[in-house]
Amino acid sequence: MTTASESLTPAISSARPIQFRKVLSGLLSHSVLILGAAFILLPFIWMLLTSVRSPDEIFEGSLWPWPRNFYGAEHYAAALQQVPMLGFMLNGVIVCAGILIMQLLVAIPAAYALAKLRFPGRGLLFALVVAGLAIPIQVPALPLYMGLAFTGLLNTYFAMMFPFFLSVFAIFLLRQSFKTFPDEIIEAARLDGMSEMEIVWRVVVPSARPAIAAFSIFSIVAHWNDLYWPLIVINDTALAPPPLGMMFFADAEVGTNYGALMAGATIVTAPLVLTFLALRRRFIQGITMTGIK
Amino acid sequence: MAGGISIANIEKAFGATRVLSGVSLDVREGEFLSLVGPSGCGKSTLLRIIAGLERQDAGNIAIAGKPMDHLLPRERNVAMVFQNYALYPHMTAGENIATPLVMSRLSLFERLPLLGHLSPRRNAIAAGVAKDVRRVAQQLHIEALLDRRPGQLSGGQRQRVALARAMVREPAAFLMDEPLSNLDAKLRVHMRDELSELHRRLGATFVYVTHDQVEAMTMSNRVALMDGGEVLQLGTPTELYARPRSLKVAEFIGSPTINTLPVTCDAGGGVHLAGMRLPIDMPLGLRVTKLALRPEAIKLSAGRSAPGQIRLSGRLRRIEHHGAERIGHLTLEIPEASSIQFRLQAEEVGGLEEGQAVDVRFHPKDVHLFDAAGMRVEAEPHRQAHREYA
Repeated sequence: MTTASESLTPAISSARPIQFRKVLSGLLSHSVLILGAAFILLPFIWMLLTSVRSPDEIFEGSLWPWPRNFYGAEHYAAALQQVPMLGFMLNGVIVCAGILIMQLLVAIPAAYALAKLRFPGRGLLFALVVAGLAIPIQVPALPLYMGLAFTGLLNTYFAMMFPFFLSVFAIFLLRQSFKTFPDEIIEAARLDGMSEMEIVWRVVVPSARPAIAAFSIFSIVAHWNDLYWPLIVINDTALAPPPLGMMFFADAEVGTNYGALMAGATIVTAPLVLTFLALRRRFIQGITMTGIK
Repeated sequence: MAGGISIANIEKAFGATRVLSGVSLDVREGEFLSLVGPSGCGKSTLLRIIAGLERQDAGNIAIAGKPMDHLLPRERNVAMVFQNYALYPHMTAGENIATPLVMSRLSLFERLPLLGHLSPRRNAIAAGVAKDVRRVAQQLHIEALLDRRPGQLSGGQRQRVALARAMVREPAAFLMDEPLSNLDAKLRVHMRDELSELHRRLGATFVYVTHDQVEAMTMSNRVALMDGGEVLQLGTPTELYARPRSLKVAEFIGSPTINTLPVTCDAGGGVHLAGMRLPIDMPLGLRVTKLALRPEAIKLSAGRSAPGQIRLSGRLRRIEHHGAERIGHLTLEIPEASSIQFRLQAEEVGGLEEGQAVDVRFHPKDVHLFDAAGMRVEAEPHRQAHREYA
């Protein structure tokens, strides 16, 4: 390639330095990225390593990547037998699915209304949605807890899901995505006899799949990993989602068995990592679509 | 099923911007009527008000005698074809065409994704829909495309799918919003022909919005020329071309654009062009300020003076080639009028060169006259001119 460009552009003497600078800047940016990735991935690698190392090796603190004695089977068996890991994960699935389904059922029509319908007060409502983005769960935690306590709903799946049914983040993200949908198609659907609800679900949603997938990953990751809210409303081990369950057992049976604990952590993290890898392209597509347009 | 559309005193404003100010129009049953005008003249808004996509501030719409003002778009029994076709991107062409039928023939329950199949009559209806879709697809020669998605179709094919979706439910009227403007020039001419043919075959009422006067003139039974939220003139293409009611109409219709020259009027009703008394008389009290001439009304004057005709001299600035004919651009020796255009047949061009001084002539009967407000004024035939003819 260099010879070709040399023979084609003999008069341009600056061609070579520009190419050289390009390579250099590529190298530089990649090494920065690799360094950042290593920094972020190190705890995960440590977790994986600990989960397959023998107890002696764990305390040596060696950075040598491969264990001398492979101890994985024992740790993973301990995690699965002593801790009801699968039960926690089932709880996690129920809670995440329940939250996600309700979030989408509420946010999709709301986002459509804010993006495409003209009605008085729309600007104010959207401003409220944006303002809602700034309020963390800790703020309404106390009234929510009291409400659930008064209605006797503590220690239920519902208590874990209820505060998240209405996601302003979902409304915001999907509104941005729906805004780019052509008005003419919505008008054609109105003339074809669809009601507004049918327009939303039949016409707009199929085109917004990348944005919905992106939001779904955000939601699932957040609620799968959430410790704060389950810790407040759940004290029954049978209902605990993975992080809370892990916490229960870190204190009790496997408290000192770091290998088993990390094996448990690996099992908990794996579904998320696998989902992300499977949906990676959609996820990035969804983010760039809603972010740039 | 079919019926005309009556539009009475429609007013519409978006905020402080007045878009339509009292538009009244009767579209006859089975007619092809074009709404034509420059962008921003309110033609698209009027179409959207007919469709029910936009609500008028005042006035009434009736289709086939039935008032439509408080009906939703889907209750008006009209179909619309949009500029960008507005096909559902995730559905195949066939599903797109079937949508209006599915919506009208299946109940809300029967349209549900899985539960709908529980209905005993669903299969029979679906078969009927498929049959109608195939029938319409055959008429438009798109049977082979029914399984493709809009993204896999060319502009012309999408246009046909959009037409099929409009046709399939046999609406009382077709509303078309610049449907050809996204097609390339050659395909546009072809689709113009096809749309006219379709209109003849269906015999349905068409309301066609365009900014292209050629489209309006070639396809329509009648043309409504709009500007500034008003209908300036409603008439057949011939009427608009031959007897424009105002200078704006005269300038909008026809290509190349009509030539305008400033004229003055003396107290006796005589009309003067650059100090020359024209053989045209105005009825007393009427004053004209503009004279307009179609490019084909101007002929090269080959030396001899024809009786009763008006001669002008100028310099031939440019000759524009249009195949069989040429358009000559003439810079006149009149201070206020910069340039006029006139048609030349190919054989006339022979000895002409750009930059050459030429004389042109025109007949007083081909002249359109307009007053200071831009409205048409009819001249009285000049007595002397009559005598010369005799």
